[in-house]
Amino acid sequence: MTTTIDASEVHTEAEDDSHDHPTDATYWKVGIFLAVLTALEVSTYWWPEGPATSTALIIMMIIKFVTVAMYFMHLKFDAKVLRYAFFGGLVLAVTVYLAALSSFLFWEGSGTDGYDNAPRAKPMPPPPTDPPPVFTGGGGHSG
Amino acid sequence: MTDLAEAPTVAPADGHGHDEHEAHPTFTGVSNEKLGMWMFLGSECLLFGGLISTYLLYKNRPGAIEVRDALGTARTGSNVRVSEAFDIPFTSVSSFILLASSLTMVFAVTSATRKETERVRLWLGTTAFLGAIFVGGQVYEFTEFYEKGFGFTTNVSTSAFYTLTGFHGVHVTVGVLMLLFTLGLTFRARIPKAQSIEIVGLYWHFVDVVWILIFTVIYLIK
Repeated sequence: MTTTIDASEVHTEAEDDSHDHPTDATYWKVGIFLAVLTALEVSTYWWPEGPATSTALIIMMIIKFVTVAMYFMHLKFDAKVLRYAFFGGLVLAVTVYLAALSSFLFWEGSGTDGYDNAPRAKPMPPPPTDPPPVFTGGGGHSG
Repeated sequence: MTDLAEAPTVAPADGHGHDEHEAHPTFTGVSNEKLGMWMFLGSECLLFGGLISTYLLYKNRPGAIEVRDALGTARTGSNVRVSEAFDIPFTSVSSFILLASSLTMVFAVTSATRKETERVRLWLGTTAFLGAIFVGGQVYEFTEFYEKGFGFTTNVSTSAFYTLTGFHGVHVTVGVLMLLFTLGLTFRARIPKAQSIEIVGLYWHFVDVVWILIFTVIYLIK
């Protein structure tokens, strides 16, 4: 005889983390929000250049990125392990790349020989001026 | 009386057969296929992070590295910047199209969850169509840039730009092919599992979020 278990009784961590799936209306709202944000981003192209504009653009970019990841990619409603893996890895990667880029920004012109200039080659030994002594074979032999 | 010697089987709550199960429970609580796609996307973050960093490094120093012409003669790279050729209104429309395709992809996934075959086909087809328009726009943009004198080897800045946006374009193209393949499966005997469509959707949304980064960092920030 086969024991049958109803699937509704089988729980997994993923299911425990998966609640409140958004409706179509929610997706429409998210889509419109993203479209408005994109329009705002595009409008900054005609704003005066400066750190304020760049900062506003980066903030809007992060909001859009997180919104798409959380709603469209379902991270908000999926198992938490995915959220931690994705955002943890992302933060780590961004940190590493920013560190690498900052090194180019801050070290240039710093007077650091190893960065600004090519490494100095070790000085070659001067060429010998006197010819090496020639062994004439005049002594030391007997018989 | 229950015969404990026999292994219990899991019957789906909706009464469908075994083939229509969603993924089996796993140790992590996430199906292996989905976890695999997320790991793949994580590695893609590193790829695009490297490409974006390279472009940022060279965008303001286009002549930093010497290039060689067809005869092998070394010369300093041209100092023109590819950003001078950007057509922001055109690229903005492309961005809206890709963003809209993410929304249609979400509807394809939700329709698949509800087993609404016709709607799945509609939304998958729409997503693929919008993706194809985006790729077409990128080809047009590249052609325009080339005719303005910005070739792949013009200088290190243009090389970094074409490599970054070209890689993204290839990813979108692969996504369109995946969508068309999935769409083709829906015309076979049975609709693909909702999770299969969700995994394709994950890839597609990732392509969209990468473009969110590229559009802001490369095109809009001066």
